[in-house]
Amino acid sequence: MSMAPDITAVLNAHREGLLAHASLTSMKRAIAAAAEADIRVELLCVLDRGDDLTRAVIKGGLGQDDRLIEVAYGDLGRSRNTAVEEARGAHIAFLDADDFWGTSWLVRAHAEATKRSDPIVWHPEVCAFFDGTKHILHHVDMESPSYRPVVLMDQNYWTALSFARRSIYLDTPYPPSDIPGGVGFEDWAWNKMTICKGVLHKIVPNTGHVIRRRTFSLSHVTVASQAVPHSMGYLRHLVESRQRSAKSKQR
Amino acid sequence: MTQSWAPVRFVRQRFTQSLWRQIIVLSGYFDRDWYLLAYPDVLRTGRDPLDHFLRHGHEGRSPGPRFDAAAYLAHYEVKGNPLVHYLMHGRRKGFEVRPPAPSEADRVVASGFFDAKFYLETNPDVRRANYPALLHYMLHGALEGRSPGPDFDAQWYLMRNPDIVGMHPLLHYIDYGRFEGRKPRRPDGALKAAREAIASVEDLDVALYGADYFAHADYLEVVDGAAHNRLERALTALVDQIEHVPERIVFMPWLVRGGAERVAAHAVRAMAERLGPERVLVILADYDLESARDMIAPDIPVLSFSRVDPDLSHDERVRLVELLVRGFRPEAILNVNSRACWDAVLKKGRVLARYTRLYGALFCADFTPDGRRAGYSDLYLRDCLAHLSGVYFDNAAHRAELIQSLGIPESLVSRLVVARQPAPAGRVLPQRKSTGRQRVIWASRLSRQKNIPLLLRIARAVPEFDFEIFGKGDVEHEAMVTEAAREIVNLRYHGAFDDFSALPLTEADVFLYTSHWDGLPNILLEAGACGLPVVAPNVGGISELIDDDTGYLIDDPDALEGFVSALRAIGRDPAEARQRAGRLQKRVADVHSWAGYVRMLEAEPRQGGLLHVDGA
Repeated sequence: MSMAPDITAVLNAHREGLLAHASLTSMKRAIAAAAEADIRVELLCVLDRGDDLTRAVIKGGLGQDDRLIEVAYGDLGRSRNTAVEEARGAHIAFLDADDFWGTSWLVRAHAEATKRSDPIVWHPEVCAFFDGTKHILHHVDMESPSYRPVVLMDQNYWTALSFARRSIYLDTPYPPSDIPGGVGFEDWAWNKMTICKGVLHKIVPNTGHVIRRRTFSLSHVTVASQAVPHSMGYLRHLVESRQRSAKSKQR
Repeated sequence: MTQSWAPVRFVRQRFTQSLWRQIIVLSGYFDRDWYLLAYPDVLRTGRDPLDHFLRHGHEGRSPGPRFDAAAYLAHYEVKGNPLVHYLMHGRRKGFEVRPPAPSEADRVVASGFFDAKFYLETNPDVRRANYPALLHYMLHGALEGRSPGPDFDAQWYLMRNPDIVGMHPLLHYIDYGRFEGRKPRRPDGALKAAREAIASVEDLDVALYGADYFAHADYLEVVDGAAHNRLERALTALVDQIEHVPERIVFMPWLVRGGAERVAAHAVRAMAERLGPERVLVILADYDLESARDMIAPDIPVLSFSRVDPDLSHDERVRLVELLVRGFRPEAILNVNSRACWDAVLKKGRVLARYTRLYGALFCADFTPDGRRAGYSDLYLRDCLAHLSGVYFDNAAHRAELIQSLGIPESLVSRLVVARQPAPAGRVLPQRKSTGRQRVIWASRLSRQKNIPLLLRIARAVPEFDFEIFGKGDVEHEAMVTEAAREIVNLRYHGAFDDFSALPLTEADVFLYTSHWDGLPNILLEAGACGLPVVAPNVGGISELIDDDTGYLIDDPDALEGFVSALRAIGRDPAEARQRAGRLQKRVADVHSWAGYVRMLEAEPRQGGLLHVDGA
């Protein structure tokens, strides 16, 4: 690929085995739809402590220009950070190797992202959970009246499969997890960290991800260990922003 | 008394009613439409609303949105029609009136879900009958399953939530449903986006193509961040009240007048002097009791979980503590007897300690009625100590006891610090002129811990002394002392006291203290600072203040003879008692100074005291 890509599509894999094939296929469909809209996309897969089956499935599905990087972190946040460092695209889009993007995701997310110049992390309007569970998560837009900033202390508003300019991920790398030490949910912490830096989280209307939720997953381990997201003083940020805003109104 | 003839009485009543109708109408307090909407049953009776109010106002029905009849009746203990009373008497006397709580109709309108134009357009029968839209909806439409506006689909809501059958659907949604994540109408937008996404990948996984994901679309759970549970509402309300980022948070169960609260107040004052009052936050985490707000300086914010939501569960309070500490990352927190805070440290101490230095205050063991130890020291210290930067004790005895009983190793012992509580500046009491009878003051909480039966036995055993008893407590022990005051001629019970300085100290000869178990009670520091001779039992850390040099220490806390002998010794030799009191006063000044206390909070534990500022 001679020109710099518009998007780096990142597939984060671990030991998904044959499931990774379907995820990779969904990613390639979204990349093909983007190509039809003249959006250049590179595919980058980061395999973290992968097993032979997953490695073989992914290698079998990658094209000539696609890249596979192997790491041994055992930490999804660090894997994502490595992907960001290695990416050549102006934007990054993450997918985990057992989930699916709706085929229109890259096209519509790119269209929204290029409309605005302010720092924004984009999320699909919905995530349809399947396999072990069946429900739909309707993502909240920070610019909608139903958004309550304090609530982010108690629940994570957005999943990790976000889309944003690469510079946003570079400015705010994912924090490391320490499940035995009680700290996990790197995506939840990252959402709060970016908000503290003035980044908006918004939804791309009429888009969806399809998320596998089996009875055993890393997130279940995190929940079972009663871990909490890394704290960066999110409420401190909210009170200080309120103070700043009150002062600027006084002026 | 002459009886009026019935027809005359009838005419007189009609005349009076007619007069009152005019007066009420002219007052502007009666609102016919509001009354009908607030009490739809009136319409069903077919009676004129004002007639109805004149007849039934005494039941507490409000005449309009400016007059809360029930509150007026209750507050001024009025019988009869409250508005008539107000117009006739209350207004002249300056009685206050206030608006009633919003009626159901008010809440429907305030919700924004009611749209009169939509309602009349979608219900032509109502329009044809010239029926006011809101009145029809409140009286008939809601229970018939008609939708109040385009954003609330009553038929869908009733179908989706069969558990609310027979209820007003919109009021259910306003009061409960929205907080439980229920939707006011089919979430078409979310379903459409999900359908499109799934359709594009459905062929890739048997879990998608093997069964129709949308087979029962109306029963699919669609969740979003708009649902706002009780905990999140409470957290939002608390954060809204916090004007400055706190660098120290002190958690207390309540703020009533007591020894532990005095300890918390000292620490709060020291922090405020060190960091500025706006950098300190006091949180009352467990109970809705705040009668001693004056113990904390007015410029230091005090927030109460219960004032935000009195119905918060204990688990929700624990979670609030955790979220506030993680969210604000203050440099340090101090827990003075808040169970919610102890449980937060127990559950999440490992991770909280990453971000904040955690401190606790402990005083003495506590006992259940059957004599089992069940205080915070026993319940929490063993499992929390690893996460705590320090624990402050007001006496050395309890610290030593815990080190021994829990087998605390040398590496952790340094975290346990004795911070001698500061005593108020002493004042020299004028020497009391002898009146022939000695006067004893006993002032403390009336509870099982304070060994009230022994106190009463002492009073009976030394009739040559007068006993002045001060304090409040539990019902059983207040009744015990009240009863005793009737029987024992030399004992008087005075009830609560606001502050030690409010006691009749200049008329006292002895300060007597009784207790089964204790730390180092603050009231003994105050008595000592005033130069009063003190008689007290040798329990907990009391011997660190009172001994045979500085007062009268009774070795067996339950033995009547020891107390009686000490009091008689004071009676025989008041000069000796005064000398001991003088030495006590000096000890208090030397050991319990404000400067010494602040130095201790700065320097101890060695790893960083409560007042230590990171990077300073």
